[in-house]
Amino acid sequence: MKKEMLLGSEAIAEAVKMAKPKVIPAYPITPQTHIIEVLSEMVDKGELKAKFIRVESELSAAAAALGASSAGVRTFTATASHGLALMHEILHWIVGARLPIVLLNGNRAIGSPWNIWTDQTDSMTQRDLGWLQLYCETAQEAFDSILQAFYVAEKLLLPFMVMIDGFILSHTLEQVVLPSQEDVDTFLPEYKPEYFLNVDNPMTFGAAAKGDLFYSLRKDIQKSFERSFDVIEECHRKFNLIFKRNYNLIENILTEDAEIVFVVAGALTGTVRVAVEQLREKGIKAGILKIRYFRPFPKKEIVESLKNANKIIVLNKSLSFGTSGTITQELKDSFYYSEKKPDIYDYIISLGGKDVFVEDIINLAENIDNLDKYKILWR
Amino acid sequence: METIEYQDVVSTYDIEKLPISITTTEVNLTGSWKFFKPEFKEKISPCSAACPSNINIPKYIFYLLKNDIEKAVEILRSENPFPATCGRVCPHFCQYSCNRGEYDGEIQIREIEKFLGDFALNFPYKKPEIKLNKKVAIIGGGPAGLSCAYFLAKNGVNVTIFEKENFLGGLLIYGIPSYRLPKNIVTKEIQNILDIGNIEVKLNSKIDRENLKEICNNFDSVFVSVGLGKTIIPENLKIDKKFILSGYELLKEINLKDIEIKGNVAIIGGGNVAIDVARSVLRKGATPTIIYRRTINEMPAFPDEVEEAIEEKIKIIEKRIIISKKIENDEVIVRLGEVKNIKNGIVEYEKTDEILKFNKIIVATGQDKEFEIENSEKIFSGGDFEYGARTVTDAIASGKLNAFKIMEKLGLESNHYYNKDENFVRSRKDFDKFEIIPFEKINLFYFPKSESLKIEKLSIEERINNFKEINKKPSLDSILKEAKRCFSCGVCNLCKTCWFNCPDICVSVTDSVDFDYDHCKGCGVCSAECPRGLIEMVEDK
Amino acid sequence: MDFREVTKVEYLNQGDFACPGCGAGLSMRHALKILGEKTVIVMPACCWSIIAGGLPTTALQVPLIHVPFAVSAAVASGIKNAYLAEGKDDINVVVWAGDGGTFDIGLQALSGAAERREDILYVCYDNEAYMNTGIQKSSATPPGAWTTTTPLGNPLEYEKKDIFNIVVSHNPAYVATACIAYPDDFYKKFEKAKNIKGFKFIHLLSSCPPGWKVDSQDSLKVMRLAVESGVFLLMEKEGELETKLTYIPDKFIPVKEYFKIQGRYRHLDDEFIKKIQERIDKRLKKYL
Repeated sequence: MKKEMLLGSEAIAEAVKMAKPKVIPAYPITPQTHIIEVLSEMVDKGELKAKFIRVESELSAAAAALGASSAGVRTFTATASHGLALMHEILHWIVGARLPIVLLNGNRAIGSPWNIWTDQTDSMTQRDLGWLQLYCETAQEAFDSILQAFYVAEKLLLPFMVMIDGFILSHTLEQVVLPSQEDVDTFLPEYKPEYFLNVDNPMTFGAAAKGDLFYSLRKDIQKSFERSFDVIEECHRKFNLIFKRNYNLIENILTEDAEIVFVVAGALTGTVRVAVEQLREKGIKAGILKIRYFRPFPKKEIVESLKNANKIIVLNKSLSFGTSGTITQELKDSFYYSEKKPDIYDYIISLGGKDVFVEDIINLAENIDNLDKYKILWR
Repeated sequence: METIEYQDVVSTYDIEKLPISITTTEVNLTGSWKFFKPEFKEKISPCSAACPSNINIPKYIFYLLKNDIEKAVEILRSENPFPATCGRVCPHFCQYSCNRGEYDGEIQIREIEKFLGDFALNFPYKKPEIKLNKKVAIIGGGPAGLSCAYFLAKNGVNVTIFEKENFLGGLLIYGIPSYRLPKNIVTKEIQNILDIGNIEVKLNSKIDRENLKEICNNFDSVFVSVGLGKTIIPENLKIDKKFILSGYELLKEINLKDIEIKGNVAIIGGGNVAIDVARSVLRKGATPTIIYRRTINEMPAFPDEVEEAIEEKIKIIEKRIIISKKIENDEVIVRLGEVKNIKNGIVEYEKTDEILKFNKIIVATGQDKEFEIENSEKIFSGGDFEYGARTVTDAIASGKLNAFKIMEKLGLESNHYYNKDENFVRSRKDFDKFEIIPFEKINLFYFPKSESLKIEKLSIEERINNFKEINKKPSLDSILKEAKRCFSCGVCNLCKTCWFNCPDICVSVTDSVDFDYDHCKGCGVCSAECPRGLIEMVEDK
Repeated sequence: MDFREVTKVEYLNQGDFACPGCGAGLSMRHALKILGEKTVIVMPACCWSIIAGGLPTTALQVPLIHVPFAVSAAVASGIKNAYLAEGKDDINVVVWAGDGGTFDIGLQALSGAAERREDILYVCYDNEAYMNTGIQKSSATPPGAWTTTTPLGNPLEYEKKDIFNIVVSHNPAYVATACIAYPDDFYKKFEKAKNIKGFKFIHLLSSCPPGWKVDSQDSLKVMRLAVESGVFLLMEKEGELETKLTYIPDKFIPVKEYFKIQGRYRHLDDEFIKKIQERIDKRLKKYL
């Protein structure tokens, strides 16, 4: 175990290295490029015994990952924004093929107009794919989540998308605790799937299925998501045992007695933490519900955590035009059957990297009585 | 067919099924799609149809190429006991009708037959398994009689051959010069026939109308094949055995005895005997001149022989007849007439000033029967005696045909032999049911053009003063190369083209060609691709 | 070629869903015979996606993966690299794609894999239109040909994309054209492709009886006419060597002979055919 000052992207590359994937197909795109630069260096130096495929597009990156994973090896790729959007068709296919690929997405806006800064539109619009989605707050969390992602994905035979905020996390130096390879190997043994493209046991993958069969295969995916809560819990328990860091589907920060709870995903949580501290000093009982897992969406845990809150402000960095902020929808859905329904404020806090300051968050809490809970709220 | 259950790939993970297939698509009986289905039907090759003996030529070529020479010989000799002989003297009707002729030159079938025939000289026949209580007399031990004897003896009939000479073979021995057909070949083939058993030979037994009756009483059936012993003489000539001789008789003498014949010799006629006499006397040191009343192209002799005679610089005077002769100083002086027209055997001519001197004149203007036979249910006849002057092959075929007629008459299973022959059903009757494969049915893609075998001969100098066989023996390689050129029209040679080209793996070729109608979609590719027209698409009901 | 010497082992099952007389079906059967059991097939959307059978059945006895339309060469790259990472160097990873998946939507991935020198074999079975979706024009559709999206015939100003030279321009290990109607040539080329390391590309002409409107039994014949008329050239380019024709007919037949037996060219007039003939003659000059 050692501590190092690493950029978020370097932390991820280190985690990937320790997870020992055999194939990494990738295509450069800001703000994820750092990750694959570091990884290709590791591969070239022989520190990481993997094949790095310098594909000609993200579509092919996803496709090459699909191929490698089908051949039965641990596979990683990284992308962002337009890249993720370009991968979309393949991302679907990977789910249907039940391939436990881990993908790192550096959250970034999607044009037009061009914008390289962070928001969550790219990954949130992929929410219906059947990929697990996890949003990271810190470099350490990103490091740990990569390892956890492989663990969970390979248990469930479902792909896993880990999100970091472009620049805010990817390009910021943080202290990261790096575990020993031995510990990582204990946590994450070699991936040995039962079925893969095996010339000694030939099978056909992905042949056309008629409606009834297709339906049952899709139902199986949902069942795996339902079961994923147990797998994730098992993963966290094991992770904590080995690495002594505890994780949950969500993280509750002062929610126990909070009257106002901010719901947030990703690096913005850090800013909100400072704001909440200051609000508490001002006597406002504020708290944070940090969403780590967006897929599966932990409804039960969220409702339980927010049972004392009367007012909830959802800080969305993406929205579904014509309805509401993406996280807001999910949150409202979670409360439908609970007896106590708090006021939920649908706030679009930032898009395309629009700066968010601590004061902005404090202002929200202080002016909550003036907010209209029936409308999308803009700054 | 084994039924195959659908199998899902069930996961040991907590997943019911995976999108993975392991069940074979064989469960889909795609045969239900088809409107037409392929059917395998053997056909007749044009060479087989043209062969008087109807030898299944493609089939024996097939076995030759399989390196199964014994089987090839068996097929060949199942139709004709004289392959080495016919391989030399048959005018190869087969080759004239060979489909490859239109393309890049016919297969030299006769050379292949000769090769196999020579090989077969040392193969004894299988002894017949049965011996029947039936007796057949054969009058005349020439090719027709011997052929008849062979087919009867093979089927267990007791045969007695009455031959007027002191040897068997007839024309094969004394009518065909050794440079075309060496005697030892014929005697070996005859010996092989006699070795089958069931055959008694009575030499020096001349049969005429009178003693034929007695034979009829002693035998169940009689086959007469005494050939044509009488020479036809033009009106203005008379055989004197000194200056004017019978070609037929002379040929016999040259072939049997070492007689001398020198000087200028005129040969009257244009048939095979005329050419044979001319070429034989040339080899004895004489100078032959053929005088023929029509043109060279109209000669009834085999074209290759006429050609060879011309090669040997034998003079042929066309459109001439002898209109007068006188004998002076041991020479015959003749005047020729120019033939203007021949109508119903009547020759119109104009006198010429052409006067020629010869030491001898040989008449080779045809042969005729020595006697007629009475109609009798017991008596069958064949060979030249029955059909007039034809080829050795025709004679052999007529012997075979009559053997079967006789067996039928004697109440023996006439199809006995045919059914036992696994290669092909070959009787005139069954023949009609088969289609003869025309050139258009051959898929030429599978046959890149190639040159046909060139037969090597002795040079003119090497051959004109002796009776050595003219045609050299081709090498095994060149024979196999030639055999490979065979289209095998209508006869399956298990080439597997149908199997190879079936997109649905529904054709199997083992010893036969079979279709899996459960899966065959009826596309017809096998039918279109068959190089030799064996597969037909028929409506699938 | 002596068909009796061809292996009896089949890697294709009966009961696939190819149309009667499908050139692609037969091509697959023989390609697999040559490539053998250590082969993995990658298949984008194409006729073969259906031919290979629906879940839970399969027509292939070697591993097969169906993949989205545009990415077969990329998937194959991933598979090959996975095997290499595991030290398995002896598996033929083969893309089996139609003309749409190669000339059109899959061209980028193909180019990428070729440029990266991926050790895979890319086979394009070209039936000259989107046949699986019901005969729509692709960039492999020749001028003159009827499709449902070129109901008056593909215009003369269009030209079938020269995929052979497009791939050649990437300078890969081996590029060839082939056609199962010339089995000898077909076998030699697949044999070669199997044994060469690096990126290999084989462009197969593959007849489609319903799409070309020919009698199913003429499926091989029509391909042969394409070759004999010089419409489709059998050629190859191996490494640094020059492109060479591997089969030259004794005499090229007029393209009209090839058009005549296909319904998709039935509407063409002599003027049009003459122009096509000129184009063919011009192209032949380059290679002869």
